[in-house]
Amino acid sequence: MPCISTLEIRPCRENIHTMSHKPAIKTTGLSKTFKKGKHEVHAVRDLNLEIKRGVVFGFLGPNGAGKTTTIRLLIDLIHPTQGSAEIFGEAVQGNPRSLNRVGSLVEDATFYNYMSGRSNLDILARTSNKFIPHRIDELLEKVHLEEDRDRQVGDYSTGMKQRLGLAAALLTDPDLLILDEPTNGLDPGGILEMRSFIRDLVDDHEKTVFLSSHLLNEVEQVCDRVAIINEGVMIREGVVKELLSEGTALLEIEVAPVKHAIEALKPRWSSILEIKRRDGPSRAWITLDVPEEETPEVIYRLIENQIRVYQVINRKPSLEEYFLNVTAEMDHHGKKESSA
Amino acid sequence: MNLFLAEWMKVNRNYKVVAFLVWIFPIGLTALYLTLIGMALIDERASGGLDGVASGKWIQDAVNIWNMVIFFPGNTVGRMLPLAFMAVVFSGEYEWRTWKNTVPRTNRYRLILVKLSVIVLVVVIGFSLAFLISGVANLFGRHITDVPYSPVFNPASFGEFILAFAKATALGLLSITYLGTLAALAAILTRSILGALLVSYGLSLVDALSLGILALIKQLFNLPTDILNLYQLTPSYHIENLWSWMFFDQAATTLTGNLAVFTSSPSMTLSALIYGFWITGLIAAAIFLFQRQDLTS
Repeated sequence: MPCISTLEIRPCRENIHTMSHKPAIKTTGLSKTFKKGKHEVHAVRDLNLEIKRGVVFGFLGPNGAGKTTTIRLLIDLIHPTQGSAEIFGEAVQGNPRSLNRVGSLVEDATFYNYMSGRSNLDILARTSNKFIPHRIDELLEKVHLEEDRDRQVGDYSTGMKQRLGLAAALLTDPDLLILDEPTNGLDPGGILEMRSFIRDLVDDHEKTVFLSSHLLNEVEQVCDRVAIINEGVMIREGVVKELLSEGTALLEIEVAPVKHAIEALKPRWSSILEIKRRDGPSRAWITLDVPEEETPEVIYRLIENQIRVYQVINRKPSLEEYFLNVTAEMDHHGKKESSA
Repeated sequence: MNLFLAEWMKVNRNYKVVAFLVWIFPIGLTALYLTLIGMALIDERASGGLDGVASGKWIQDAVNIWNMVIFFPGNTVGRMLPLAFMAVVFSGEYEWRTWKNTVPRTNRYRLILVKLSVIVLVVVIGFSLAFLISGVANLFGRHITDVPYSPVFNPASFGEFILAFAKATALGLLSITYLGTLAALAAILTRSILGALLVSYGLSLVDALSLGILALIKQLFNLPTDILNLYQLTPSYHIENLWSWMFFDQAATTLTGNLAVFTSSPSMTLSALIYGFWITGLIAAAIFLFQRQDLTS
């Protein structure tokens, strides 16, 4: 589109900019309700996401949170009850063209078990109308299935199927990869390899990866941004590091006797999160949710009460702890609302 | 073309399914004829075996291969294997949870249409091979074992055989397409292989037995005979009428044993239109349902 200025007619840089920077994924009020008999299950509720290109975006939530339903909505396997989804600026629903630049691996990888891994990829490439034989061999090599490519998929292990699933997702050299629990069934070596592979896709090949997982350390290690979903509702979204620096730090202290330590700290710091006993009943680790600057005060209080302090560790909460706190908060609010 | 090849590979690499449900017709027939001919060559007294399986009118015997899917009562049983094959192909995608791999890659309606084309083609090839094997083996076997047959093989009878093959294949194609739409619809509704087989077979049985059902209703409710004319709305009647026009150059107005005499004599064009309407309607219904369906597994 030309931009008309007073001096000249020139290509509109804004338009070009906007076109090439449309978010990889955008959802607006995306909702999905399943009817099961007389009951309605709200699998996804009013989901608003905007995922920029060139990032690994983690979609985190416990089992049954709505992650897979969201992914199925994003690749038009199911239809939203309300709202819409866009991929690179194109509406997804009823528009398969919008998925031309998308590769996906939904839940566990399933194939035609009676055919070889290679034939399965052959079929999928042809279905996409992008059949390039050497690409299939390259991908099989990349996911370390080159020696098993002619074996029936029915004889593959879960991990092998998962790797074949990744190859299938990459068949069309997509700009956006949607991966649902991609490390399911992989051995520890395979998990590490998958993580570094995902990072490479983004860092070296400028792809965008939308990764759903219930494994918090996976998201923490691989993702740039994360959204947390629980019971179909997105409860937080942001940069992983920023989310982790939100709120207070955790203070872990090894003390004895633990009973007296708790009595000494409780009046001032009621937020004792965890007590891990060790070496008998009196010595234990106490975890407190307190701001970092209050650490000296905590130690002073313990010593003042003649409590032995063995070790002190001040650390940021892991994403796992963050997630548990956030979902616990949500449950708490939910209960409050329902009792009101 | 790529999508067609993909479906073709998918269907034909499922060796067990395609062998037991489709290739069993030409392979079984070949084995049968080879056995009978072999026995007749070894012992002259066994040559009667050939008469046991076919009348000796080798062109008519070959044409009769299609009876098992088109005409009552053969179609009540003969449709089972083709329907089972088509049900497996369609509903296998649900049971094997493979729609999630293919649906994001292309239009849903294309997947249904291409799958339907491939399965129809495979079944028609299977039956056409059975037709050719029946004709050739019957003729050849009787000739070398001196068992009587007719007509005598000459250019005219060969031409007649080829013409009969073309007509029967064209009608078989229509009939199998109709069965394919039933299988597609049943698979989409039930999402299971067994469910698709039972529902599609049930629907085809209702169609095949529709005249009997109408006769029963007439008897039960003491209705006028005209009610039997409703049979002329069913796909069963119209494929039968097309067959009648193609092979006997007249409309099908009576049924075996004068069970019913119909008051109208639809032309070949009208029957082709009505049969086409049935097929198109069923395909449209299948596509409509599949387009709206949530693929949750």
